[in-house]
Amino acid sequence: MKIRTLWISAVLPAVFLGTAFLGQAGAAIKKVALEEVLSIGGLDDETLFQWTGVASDAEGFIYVLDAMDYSLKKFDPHGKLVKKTGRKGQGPGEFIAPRLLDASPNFLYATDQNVAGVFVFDRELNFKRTIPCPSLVAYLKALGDDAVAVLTMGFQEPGKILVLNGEGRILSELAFADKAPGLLMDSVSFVPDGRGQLYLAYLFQDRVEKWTLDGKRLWSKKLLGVKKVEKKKISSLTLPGETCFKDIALDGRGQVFVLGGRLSKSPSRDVYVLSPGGEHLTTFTLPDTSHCLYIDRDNFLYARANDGITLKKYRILYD
Amino acid sequence: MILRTALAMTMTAVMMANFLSPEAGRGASSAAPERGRSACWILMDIESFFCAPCLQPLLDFCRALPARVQEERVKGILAYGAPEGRERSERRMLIVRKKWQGFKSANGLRFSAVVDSGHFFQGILTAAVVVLLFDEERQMLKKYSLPLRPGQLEEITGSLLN
Repeated sequence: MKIRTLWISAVLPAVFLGTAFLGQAGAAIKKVALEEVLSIGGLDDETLFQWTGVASDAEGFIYVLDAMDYSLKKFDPHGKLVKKTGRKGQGPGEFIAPRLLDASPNFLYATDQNVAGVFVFDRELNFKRTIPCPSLVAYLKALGDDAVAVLTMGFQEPGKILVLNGEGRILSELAFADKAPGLLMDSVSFVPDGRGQLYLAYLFQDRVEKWTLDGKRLWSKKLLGVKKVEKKKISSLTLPGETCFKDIALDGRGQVFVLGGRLSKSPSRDVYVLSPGGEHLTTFTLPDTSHCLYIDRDNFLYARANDGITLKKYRILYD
Repeated sequence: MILRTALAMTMTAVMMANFLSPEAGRGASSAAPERGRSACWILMDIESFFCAPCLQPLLDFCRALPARVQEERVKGILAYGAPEGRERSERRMLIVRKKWQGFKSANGLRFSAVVDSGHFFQGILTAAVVVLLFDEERQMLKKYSLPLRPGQLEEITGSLLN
């Protein structure tokens, strides 16, 4: 009971993640299209080399992690680079393999693929501290200025989603994975809806699910018709070889956007749109392949182009 | 510690699966070494640029080479999979070049690299990074896969620093 209370108390402050959606859920959509409104980074400039994570703030500033030059970059709403921080290393504010990024009202949360923790920066890109995690972080969502949800994975136990406070204390945990699912088979992207529930998209299983934060699965959906993902042997490890889904996000209407992986019809471009109840409403296709899907508080969608050299911002058009 | 390293590798596998485009694969160009002096070509699978642990052996190797040697005796070759269609192929080449610029600058590398637009080195690239040493003293061409085995770094640097 205590954990449940803590989870809810950690999630409720996540106003920026959820409350904007509450009043907007309307009629089910039939079709979604995108209109490009901004493009950052091109083949002939030095802006981005391999962006991995993106987040934005209430003023429209865009923050991007770049794995190729080990940096965190801040762009103004027009896409102009206003600040850059970070370099290769293991000191404060340095990266070896920057990967995930999310934002709370006052802070940015970033992960490094090789670090068991979450780096905290302020919106001026000043490094503030590291939130220690019990394991490497496979996925991350900000829940507020003092709470993050992280997916941790280990060899010994199935993946868990943990809610941590700013000091790294575990406030609550969601053990969603099957017992002994196989290495990496419990990898998920997830997004909280701000109302005590959470959507999961499995990277290596044809499963999209909705859970309550206290551990009850509300629904489970297959979208690809894939029975089993083939595995391959890398060194002494047997790992899944193809991705079913890559990322998940919620739009301003509370609808679930799931980015398909290599096993979707248009690999890494198809986006499946589901109602909060799990009904498959429509599918649309991104103009270019992406590893990431991010929807900001103003309902703009961000995705990749040119293999991570370009970040595209789109207006979502509904029919 | 071993578990953590293995876990980092598996997370790399996840990341690569997530990041790589459907057309991603492998492939590699060329540049002639200077006559009379040993030289080496470093063949790099551009897809491994998504994988920090895969590239660490390259950075360790380059750290052992003085800047002058890197500039004068080393040439990089950027290999990538062949996407279908000429337009996609040309775009892919520009992307590969751009990623190299970012990586080179951020890591302080001094040698230049060319893009293997013809995918000539596909069969040679048996690891994320392969070194071809043109050993002038022994009049031999040698191939090394990174990470190097004990003694190989000394063998290469001994030849290049001569």
